[in-house]
Amino acid sequence: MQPQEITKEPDLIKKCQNGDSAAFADLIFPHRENLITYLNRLSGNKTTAEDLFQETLVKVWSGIKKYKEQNKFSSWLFSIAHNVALDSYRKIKNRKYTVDVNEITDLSSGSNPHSDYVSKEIELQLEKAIETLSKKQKEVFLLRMHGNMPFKEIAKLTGEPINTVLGHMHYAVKKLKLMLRNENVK
Amino acid sequence: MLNNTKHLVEQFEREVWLYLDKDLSPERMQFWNEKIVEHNELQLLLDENKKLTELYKNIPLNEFSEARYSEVVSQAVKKRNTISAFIQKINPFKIENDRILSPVKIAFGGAMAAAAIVILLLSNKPNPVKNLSNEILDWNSEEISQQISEMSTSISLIKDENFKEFLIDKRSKEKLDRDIFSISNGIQKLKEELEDKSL
Repeated sequence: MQPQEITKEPDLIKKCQNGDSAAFADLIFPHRENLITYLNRLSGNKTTAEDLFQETLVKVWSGIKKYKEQNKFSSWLFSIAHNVALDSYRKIKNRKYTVDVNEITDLSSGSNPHSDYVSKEIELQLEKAIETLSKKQKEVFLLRMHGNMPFKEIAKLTGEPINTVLGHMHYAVKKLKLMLRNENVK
Repeated sequence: MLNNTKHLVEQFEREVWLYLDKDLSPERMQFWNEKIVEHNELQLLLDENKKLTELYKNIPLNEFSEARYSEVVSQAVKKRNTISAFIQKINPFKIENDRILSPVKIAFGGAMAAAAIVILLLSNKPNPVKNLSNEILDWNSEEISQQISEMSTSISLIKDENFKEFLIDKRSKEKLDRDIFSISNGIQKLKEELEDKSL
């Protein structure tokens, strides 16, 4: 997010609370790609992510009057997105979140060793590795990375003790580091 | 020494994210700051976590074109406004939407209704006939009691009269039977005397 957008955020929120839908579009705009990426990585499906994105916007627009400025807006936005994704997951829990194989690029080419820049291959490996995390590990990891949420807030949102949440993060990071190390060894 | 380091690493693995967030107490932060300088393993762990975060944040985000974004936003706003308009239409008192259809209120109302039904089904139902009698008696007890007493007396009298009549009838019948029996005997004797005389 740009510094200019941060200063504008409280004004945009006030306008939204007065029913200004154009201000609403401006308010969400800086978060849009982060939010759609979060939902895409959580659901593993682009179409589902877009549906969840729209549902999140409906909830945010209808609940904006209740938003209190002592909470960080991005944390509030991601907590709504998380709940929307969770509701959707519950509705279709007989079907697991699946990865659309057509949406993953072929990774058969050899990976380059890590240098000053982050190679495309490593990025893709990391994305692929995220898919291997358990549901809880993925939830905590993605909320932390995309929503920039402190762990106390994640614990409150998921309804789990903070040590459990930290445990999910620890194992998620451990798994990702291990996968990346293995890829670099090849 | 080795065990101590291993134990510290395990502890730091649990707290490293809180350390990065500066979400630990000042004393704990100071403790880790000192230990990180003393133990290279802790610094390594910290660097790895920072590197992973950096690596992850360098992955390009999914693109979402402005045109598509505008479309999704307008659909979301329209969807919400349609729901609001519908609620406002069916809301005769024009109460704000969030005041009448909050999910918490619906859930609370539903729970209360369910509890009321359960209590109604489990509680002992009063006998409506008994209640009605009591009400009438409370309302005009003297008159009703008198009527009941009169009725009771009448029933007794009727019973007594019937019994007397029964006894009278019974006696009459017995007397008649006895008379018939004596007449029959008399006729029989007369017959016998007539037969003797004719012989």
